[in-house]
Amino acid sequence: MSIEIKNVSYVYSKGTPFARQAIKGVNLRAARGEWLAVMGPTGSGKSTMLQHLNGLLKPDSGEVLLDDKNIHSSAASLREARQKVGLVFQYPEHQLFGATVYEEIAYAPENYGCSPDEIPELVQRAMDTVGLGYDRYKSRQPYELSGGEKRRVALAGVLAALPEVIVLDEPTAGLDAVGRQLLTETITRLNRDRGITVIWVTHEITEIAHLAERLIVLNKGEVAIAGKTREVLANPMMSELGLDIPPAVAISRELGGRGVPVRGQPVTLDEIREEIIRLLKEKQ
Amino acid sequence: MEGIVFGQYVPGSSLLHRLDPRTKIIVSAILLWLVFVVETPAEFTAYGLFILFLYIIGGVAGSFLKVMKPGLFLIIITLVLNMFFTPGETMFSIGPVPVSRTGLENGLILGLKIVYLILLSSLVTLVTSPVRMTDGLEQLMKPFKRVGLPASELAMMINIALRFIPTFWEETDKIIKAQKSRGADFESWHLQKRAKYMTALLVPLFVSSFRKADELAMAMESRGYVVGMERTSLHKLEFRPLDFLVLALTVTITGAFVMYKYF
Repeated sequence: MSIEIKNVSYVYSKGTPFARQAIKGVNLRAARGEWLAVMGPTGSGKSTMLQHLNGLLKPDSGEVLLDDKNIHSSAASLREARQKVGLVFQYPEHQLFGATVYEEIAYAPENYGCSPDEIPELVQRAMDTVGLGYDRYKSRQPYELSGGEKRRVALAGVLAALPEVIVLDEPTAGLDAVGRQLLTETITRLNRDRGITVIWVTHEITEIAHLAERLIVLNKGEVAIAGKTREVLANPMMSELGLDIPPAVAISRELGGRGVPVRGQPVTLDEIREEIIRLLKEKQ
Repeated sequence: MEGIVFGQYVPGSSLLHRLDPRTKIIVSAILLWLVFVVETPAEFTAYGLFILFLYIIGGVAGSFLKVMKPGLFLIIITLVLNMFFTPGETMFSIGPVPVSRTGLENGLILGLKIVYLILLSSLVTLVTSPVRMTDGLEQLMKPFKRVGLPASELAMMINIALRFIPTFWEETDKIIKAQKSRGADFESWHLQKRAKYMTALLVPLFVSSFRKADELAMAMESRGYVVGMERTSLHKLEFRPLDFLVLALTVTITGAFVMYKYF
């Protein structure tokens, strides 16, 4: 499914001394199967923008389109948007409540009115996707699991509703290296094999710089830079906004500044290594 | 959940902000008591206008209606219960249920009193920073220390409770949104379903409250907080002429009003 935000603005606590414009005229579009990364300093409106994607917040102006249909046009279309756009909040393990992992993951399919016969299969598939063995984990209590496992349970809880767009708000925050890699691999598989559209908000762009086709940078509630990930990362504005860039990009920039032009806008360490080897060979 | 300001502090430099917290606590206690003295429609109107006036000089008039939001439900319940369950002369009927004049009047008066109580108590928290509030409470409770009242601990507890109201709302909002994203419908009229949705809200909320309490306790201890230890404060409270003036005015006017009313 394609998802689009058109000229959306939103103000918090309208009509009080706390009124605050969170986002202003934001545009964003992700085609079916596309992987979009979103970055921005703290308070730039990332979370507010995300909550518009599945209709948790209703824009003050502008519209949110799912397959070119406004999600706020009717109660049914809003409900469809909730199901089709899976939103994974920051620290999603804080929302766990089920007595068992099974109950937790079955929650969304039950709410969306799936028939009781198909729920076990949905749960099993979701657990397989995130790498939790069905027989081993289904009867365990979520609270006794490790942090990484809890997060995978929460992710499975969203995936069980079979979303076609998945939106993740800093999904790797607070995970160890293994947990991060597992999660990134899971999302990569969903994106490649099932054509699920991914919108991934992050401070650590290095993790997904080679995976996300496009990158959008928000600042003070507005889109500051948007375009192909490699091109956006090369933009000097990134450092001005205080955003981290991958080491590979920093190295290319440094080399470029010393009169050694780097080709192909590398973003991973492997890519920059290949490029440096090529440059050295060329010199010899 | 956005926009609930009960227990929230709005920074400012108005007359009310500058008063000593002890003055504000004492005056608000008198004003809260006065809510139960007020009887006639004229008195109610005058008192309501007075509260509005206080909000205006406190520079928080924008919060006037907002603070009543959480109490609205309570007020409606009070009104409805009184309307239907007080015996007396029937004024009109809604369907087969008669509504008595005394019932309606009692309901309105009680409802209005609740509104005034909410407005007055919120005003104090709106114009007093939590730290100063704690200092004020601690100072006021100090005389009772001799009879074994843990004044500083009580003040600290009240401060923490006030400080965490907004945090708690934020957390509630976050969990509601997370569960809504998984298809929960908190506005459902189906009671059984609604109970299920509430479980999905209350369990994580409980867990997170305990986690936050644990973290807070740890943070306080690592900064040297010890229960029962004598502590000094950074900003010493000081009564200024303005405080004496406000206190004297409050006592005189209240006294005059009570004299006029009962003697």
